[in-house]
Amino acid sequence: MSRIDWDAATAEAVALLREYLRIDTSNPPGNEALAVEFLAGILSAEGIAFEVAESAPGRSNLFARLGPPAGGVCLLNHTDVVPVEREYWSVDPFGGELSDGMVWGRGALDMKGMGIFELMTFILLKRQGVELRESVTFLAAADEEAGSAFGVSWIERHRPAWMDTDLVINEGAYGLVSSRGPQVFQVAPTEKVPLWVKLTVRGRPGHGSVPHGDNCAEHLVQALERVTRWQRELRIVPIMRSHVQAMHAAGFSNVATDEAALAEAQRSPSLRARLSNTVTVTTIGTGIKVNVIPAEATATLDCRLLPDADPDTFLHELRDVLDDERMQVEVLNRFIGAESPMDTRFVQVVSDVVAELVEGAQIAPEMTSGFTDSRIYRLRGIPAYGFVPCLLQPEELAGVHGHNERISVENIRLGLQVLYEVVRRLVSA
Amino acid sequence: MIDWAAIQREALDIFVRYLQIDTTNPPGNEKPAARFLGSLIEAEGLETEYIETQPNREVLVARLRGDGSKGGLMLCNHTDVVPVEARYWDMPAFEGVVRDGRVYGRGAVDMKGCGVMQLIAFLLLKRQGLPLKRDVVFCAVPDEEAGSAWGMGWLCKHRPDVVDVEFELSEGGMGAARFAGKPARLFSVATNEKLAAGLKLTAVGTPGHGSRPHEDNSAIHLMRALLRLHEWDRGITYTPDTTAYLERLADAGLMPPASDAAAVEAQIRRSPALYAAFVNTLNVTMVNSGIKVNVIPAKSEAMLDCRLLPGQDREAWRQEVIRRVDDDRIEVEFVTRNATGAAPAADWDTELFWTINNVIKESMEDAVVVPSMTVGATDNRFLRGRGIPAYGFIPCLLSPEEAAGFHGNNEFLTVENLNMGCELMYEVVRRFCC
Ligand SMILES: [Zn+2]
Ligand SMILES: [Zn+2]
Repeated sequence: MSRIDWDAATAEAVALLREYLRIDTSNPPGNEALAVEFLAGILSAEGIAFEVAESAPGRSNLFARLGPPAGGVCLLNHTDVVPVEREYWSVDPFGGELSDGMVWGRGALDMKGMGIFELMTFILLKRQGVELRESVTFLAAADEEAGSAFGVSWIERHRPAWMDTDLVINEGAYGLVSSRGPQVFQVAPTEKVPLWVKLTVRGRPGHGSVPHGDNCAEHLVQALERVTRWQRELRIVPIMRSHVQAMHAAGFSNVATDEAALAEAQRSPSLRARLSNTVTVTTIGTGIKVNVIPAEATATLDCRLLPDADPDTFLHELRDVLDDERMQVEVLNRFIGAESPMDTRFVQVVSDVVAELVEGAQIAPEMTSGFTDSRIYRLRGIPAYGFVPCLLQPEELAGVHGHNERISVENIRLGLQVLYEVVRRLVSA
Repeated sequence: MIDWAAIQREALDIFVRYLQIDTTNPPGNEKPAARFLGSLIEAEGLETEYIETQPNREVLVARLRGDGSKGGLMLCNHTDVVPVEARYWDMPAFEGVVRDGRVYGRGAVDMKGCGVMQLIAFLLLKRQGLPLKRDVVFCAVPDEEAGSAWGMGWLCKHRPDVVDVEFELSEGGMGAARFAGKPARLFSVATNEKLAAGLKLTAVGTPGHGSRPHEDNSAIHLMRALLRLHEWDRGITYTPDTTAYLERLADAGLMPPASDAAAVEAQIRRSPALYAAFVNTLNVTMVNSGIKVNVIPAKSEAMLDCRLLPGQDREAWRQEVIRRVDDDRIEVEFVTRNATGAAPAADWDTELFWTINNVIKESMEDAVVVPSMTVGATDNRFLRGRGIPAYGFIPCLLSPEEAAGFHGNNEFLTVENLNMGCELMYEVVRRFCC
């Protein structure tokens, strides 16, 4: 077995990622079949067999397996990306630009970059002729960003064999680096539970020149104001207690105790999001014409509950806060929380590899504040972890679902090396 | 002798067919409407002119010649209608459904119904062969509902010869079957109108993932601004016009006497339509924020329909709204940048007003006829701007339910009102022009 030339592997990964980012898989509508075509071409060239399954026109999923025919490690990634607000980007979000040591584009972090680490890991295991004691699967799924109905949820029903695995490595937690030096790789065994709610209120339509007091837009604005003033409880669940302590031990923060964490949450929206149920107003829509009072106004709330929170209790509280009988509250989705264990061989291997490859780096458990496809595996009792082995600066993190999303070439190299080594140790004889 | 029963059947048939022409603006597509009305005029052996202002948008002009001893009267109506929220309608909006003595359809009151009344008056004058002192100009224009740039605004700029008349009648005033909660026969002849000063609010924040709420959410900034505007009580402003209006209503027993200011104010505030004549109105009509349930929007927009009292300054209003919004993350700009300035009020004490007054009083003894102000905007402003007494006058007694049809759902006009409107319109025009 020859040693891997990591310079060459990195250059290859950079080239692949740039090409991948040029494929616009904004969801909606997705068009993930284009991404699958791209990935299929690469696997074909390596002589690796794969399967493709179409879940809807223009939307497909890809699966490949190396080694034994069942179980093993699944490298899971989603091929869709969230839409962009182009006017805020300084580069073409679908240009795959390489400049300033960074590869730019929607999906660079979430999660085409990780998808390329997984793909390269998969290919390298084959090229290196690694003897596989356990199976490795590569699964590129559609529609993660819109709830997975045409991705992993579809696969669960129509291609259950693709989900035959003992462990899932997926997005869900990035490594962090602080300008002061500390570096930490985070591993997420659980995540917050989304609860998407649509509010609809009706009023009386009419001519815009005569305000009549029953304008649905005004009803909605008043109710939303009450929602934004709603104070919710801060609470430290066990995984977050471990997180806080690990981040402190890694030199990442000076917050060590529950008390300090609760105090810090008042200042830090990102910590607050992991210590409470959150509510975000994400859309408001009404109106057909400037001089017509609309008949109906809607808003959506993106609520994220702590993994152990009861959605029904939360909805009950929300109705009380809205305090408007005219308001229809519709639940757009309903997920269930689940958590994977942290005392596993996977976590041990991650810890070992990180310690060997990156001097001074530590690992920390984390709770994903977003949601990922891991939830579907966890509910089936399959351990699934968020683990994107890059070390990001805060401003790079802001690119996730934001503008000017990018990943450094240095992080591509790091992510590739760490992921490959972790997977190799887990599956090789 | 006019066979009114036959005329009523004719008017209803025309009305139903006219409502079937979808002239929703945007985009308008008013040409088929102009052609439809024009064909009815041509069938009487009269000439018509179609003036294209944009592809598929036309003005229709037809003229009955007078002997020139007096100036012309224009009967002006717009052929476009506002959009429909079809899911709130109990019937198709473009089929001209006749049910229980009502004719339903977008435009029934605003203003295809009045267009038919004007057309019938015009056709009857021709059929009766009466000698005219004044030219009578029938003019159907597109684009009133979207600012008139391709309708009356265009006509005044490019074809001033068409609008060279002494008087004009269009929409803006009408009869009300109830006033301040009581039965009434109150006919308003609109001589003035408010000034449209619609505003667009744009809030800018920081985008992000819905799972990580932060304080710089543009939707929240916008919502708070709208709430501050909603809570802003702009009081009641009396102008000489509206004071005179209240006095006339008090004389007719429809308002408390001016001496009882508190009672007057209470009654004004009880009726949204009346209150709108005494305040700069502000109505949130559109909000557009966010692209996806899990993405914090970077930008959020709202449209406010604002109508200013006559004599107010648009820019001063914008500045006042900016002060109320009190948030420099929010930009406040006009929806229409180069709107026409306020037109002067038309003189109410004219031969046309008194003709209307007399015709109505003769037909309904207890009717009250008052000059008034329109709270919306109409094409009359263009003609008033040229010094022409342009009156808003739909000669029907609309019930509150019918009046709610202006830009509302299930818009309808009763057959009874259509008949009344045709007769009154004909009589006003005949008496004024013969
Ligand atoms: Zn993702
Ligand atoms: Zn109108």
